[in-house]
Amino acid sequence: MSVATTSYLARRAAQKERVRILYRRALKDTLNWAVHRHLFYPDADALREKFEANRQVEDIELIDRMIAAGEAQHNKWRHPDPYIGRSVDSHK
Amino acid sequence: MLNLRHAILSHVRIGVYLKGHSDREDLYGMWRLAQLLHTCSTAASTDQDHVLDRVVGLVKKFDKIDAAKVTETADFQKDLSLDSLDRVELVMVFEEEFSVEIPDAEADKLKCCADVAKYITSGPSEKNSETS
Repeated sequence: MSVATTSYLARRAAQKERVRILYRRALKDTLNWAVHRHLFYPDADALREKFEANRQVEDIELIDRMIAAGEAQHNKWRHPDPYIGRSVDSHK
Repeated sequence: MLNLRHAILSHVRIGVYLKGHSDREDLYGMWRLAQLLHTCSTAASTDQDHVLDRVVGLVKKFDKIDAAKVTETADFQKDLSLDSLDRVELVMVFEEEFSVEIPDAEADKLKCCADVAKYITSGPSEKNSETS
């Protein structure tokens, strides 16, 4: 395997990780913004659709720009007072 | 309806008699009650089989998963064909059910139901709890 391919795969893996973290944070924030539980589900579905819309994108530079745009958008709409649960080891 | 309520309450209610005792015994009664409730709650949360059953039940209810394929060691990604975003949703379900916060890095390591139950009951032992 050439160096170029390896670095390409590493970059794709890093992108996948960034998207996973972004989706996780955005989904949690969706729950933070939802005043009622029944309002959360359509919002969560809409969020998933936003991610699914770009599932087939192959251009690695375009993906980077899209992730950056998504992260910027998430930072802009981040909840000022998020729900923070306890961590598993905190009661030990 | 009232009868049903009484029936349930008579089972659930824990009788602690505070009248007719001295202050010290009142305190002792309260302390015993607190101990009792504490043992009840920790016994429930440390019972790994019980947690595992709940985890498996949750995974079976997840709408993108074929319930028949769910076993304790079925890999979410390979055996149950979830993608990375589905797994994020699933981890959030676990967080809500057990009201715990699972860090981003840990969430990625949970590959099957047994992993999740183990994480929830034991917690990350290699991690120092001082940081939380």
